[in-house]
Amino acid sequence: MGILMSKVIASLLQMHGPDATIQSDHQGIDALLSDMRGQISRSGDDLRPADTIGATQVYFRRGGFVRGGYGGGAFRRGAYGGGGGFRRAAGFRRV
Amino acid sequence: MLIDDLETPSFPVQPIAQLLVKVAARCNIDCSYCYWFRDAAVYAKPKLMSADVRRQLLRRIEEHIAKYSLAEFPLTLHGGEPLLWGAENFHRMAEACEDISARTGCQIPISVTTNGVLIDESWVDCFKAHDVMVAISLDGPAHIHDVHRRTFQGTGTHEAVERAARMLLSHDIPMTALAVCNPAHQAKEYFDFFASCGIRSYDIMIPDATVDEDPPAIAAFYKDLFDLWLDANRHEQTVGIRIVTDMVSALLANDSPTEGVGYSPVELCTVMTDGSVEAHDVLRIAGDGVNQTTFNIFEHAIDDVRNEPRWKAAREASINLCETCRRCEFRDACGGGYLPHRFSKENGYDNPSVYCDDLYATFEHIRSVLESHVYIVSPDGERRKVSDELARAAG
Repeated sequence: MGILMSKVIASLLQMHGPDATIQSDHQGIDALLSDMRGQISRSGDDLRPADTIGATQVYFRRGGFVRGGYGGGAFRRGAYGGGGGFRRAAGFRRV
Repeated sequence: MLIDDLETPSFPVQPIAQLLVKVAARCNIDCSYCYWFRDAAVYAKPKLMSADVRRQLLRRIEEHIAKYSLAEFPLTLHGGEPLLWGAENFHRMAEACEDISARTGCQIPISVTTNGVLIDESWVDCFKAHDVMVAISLDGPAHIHDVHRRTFQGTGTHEAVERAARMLLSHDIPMTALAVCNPAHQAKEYFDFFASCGIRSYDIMIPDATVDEDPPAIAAFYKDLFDLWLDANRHEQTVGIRIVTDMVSALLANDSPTEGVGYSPVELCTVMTDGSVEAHDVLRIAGDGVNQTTFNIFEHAIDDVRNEPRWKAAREASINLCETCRRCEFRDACGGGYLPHRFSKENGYDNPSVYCDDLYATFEHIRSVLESHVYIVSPDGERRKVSDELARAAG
């Protein structure tokens, strides 16, 4: 395969209609997909996350803002400290 | 290879979205691989952030949040070793941020990245009181950790750090461990160690190196690490390994949440102990003084750094990839790798990562696995494996 995975998935979703969804039989992958599912299905041929109000946070590599839900219930990008929803708010949109 | 365009995509301008705050410029241990002290300029900075600088920083933070109506503005307290600043200063900083949050409605989550040596019950109380998330530097088991992470007397720090990590876990402090990959060892050694400690959220970072160096290959390590993550999370989510999930996210939707993976601008803003403002602090590995600017929080607003030439140069470098990267099928997922790893004295950042071959091999491996685990489910409920769809499209 010589093209980006994201492009492939986008084109497959287009092929199968706007109500097609992307899923995985692997829990870890599916959990990551669950965060992306909305933006993928919305964004058609461009998988950049949809624009929303607010600044994009791309967390500092050596910082502590990994959603540490393991053992605490929430998955990686779930709640911050139990409820703040602290996560990447928006994406850079290719223009 | 099908690449739809080789041009650099444009990225919208946005306000600074988080701060890296250097509250201590010195450290209490002597790690052999530390990027921070590669630049002697750090010794010219005050050892600790003063009360005047802290108060001015808080004023600038509130001004910045209000001006851009930010909903969240994370702070990472960093060093050197940030706990040298003292718990009392942490309390003051966190309480002031809570006051700003109350006035502006903006969340200001605080994290701290520490070597863990100083953590005791009083620090646990402080972290708990202010919901501080803790990233603790812990390079896996003692025989790996103590190779590089030693005291100034040359003794290992593993015992103290493991004790600190277990203390944080026992008090339910949100905690992640940050390790640096040592490819002379197996990924499973790290994996088993963290599992034995009950640490379920961690990262194993790529060692810092420039293109002028010749670091050992890391592809085998990261492919193994991905396979371990894959096995561990097959039926339920048991462990989060940040670099792995970042790479998976980047492949699936160009959506890595950290700056080490993926194609997006590096827009970090670092505030030093004297209030001076710099770009990405790891760019110090490029040499003495490379990161210094004339900007500081006494004379400039936080967002003014966007006009600072070196800050702008770092941002531009992060999105203007070399031709090899622009032609690469993993361009969007990889983004050229971690910016400091692209530096050479000859070409600046106009290079593929010193780890380019390793990153390519790792992405290729992960993608091949993803193809067999990802399905398109059509509206009528039919489930089609992505790999089958790809084969059909190709044939």
